[in-house]
Amino acid sequence: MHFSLKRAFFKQLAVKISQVGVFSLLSSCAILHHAQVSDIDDDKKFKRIAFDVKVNESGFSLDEALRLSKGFTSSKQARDDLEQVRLILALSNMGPQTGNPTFNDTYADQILSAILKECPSGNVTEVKSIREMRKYPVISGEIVKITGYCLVPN
Amino acid sequence: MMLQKIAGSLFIAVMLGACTHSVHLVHAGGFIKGLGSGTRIEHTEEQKVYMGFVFDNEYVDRGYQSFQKMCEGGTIHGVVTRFSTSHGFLHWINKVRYEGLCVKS
Repeated sequence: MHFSLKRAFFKQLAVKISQVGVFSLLSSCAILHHAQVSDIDDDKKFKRIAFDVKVNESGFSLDEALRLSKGFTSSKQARDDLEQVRLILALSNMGPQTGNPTFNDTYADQILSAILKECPSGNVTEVKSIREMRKYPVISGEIVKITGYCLVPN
Repeated sequence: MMLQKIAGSLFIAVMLGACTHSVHLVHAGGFIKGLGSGTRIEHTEEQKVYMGFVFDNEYVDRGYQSFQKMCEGGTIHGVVTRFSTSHGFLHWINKVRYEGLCVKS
């Protein structure tokens, strides 16, 4: 009796782990939120040197984590508690979201310094600003990418 | 018991509030050839939203004007704009941050 219960438990655990595995494999993808291009200068007196600058920060979806935890819990009481925690977190972190929330909003503030490091003269053209995310279950990479050309006299 | 649970939940909610952020947009542009790197200037303007109610719709323009005033008589180029939200308990703060290079002749 005891042995069969243990076996059933491990079987259930294996099924759930494989479900999470399939879910993880299928759900990791890149999502574009925003793309914009600035003015283009094609002056032939200058040579164009391409550069790109990328900053990112880890995003975390507490809501998704709690929903996954609920799926792993068989006790009704525990599921109700998790639902309550979900509600509290939703009330504590109200507001519009692009991608998953991060724990700081200053990760993209070094963009201008990074551009000037790539092109100290400031002669920059065709700047593409891209806001995207790499999404995995629960976590994500929140990315800001800037590409452009540095104009150097011929 | 019930009262303790509600008080506990509220305490956790307030403690956990305002710890997450979301960056919606970062845009760089307006670089002017030959102006050089100049002096870095930066300004942030905020809009507080309580449970979806907004009382200040001018924050973007106000921020833009303050940013311009930081380089009176000069030219601002290489402007990087960031629009983000800081989440909080039953409220949130929308922020717009301008950063650029001020060149005075």
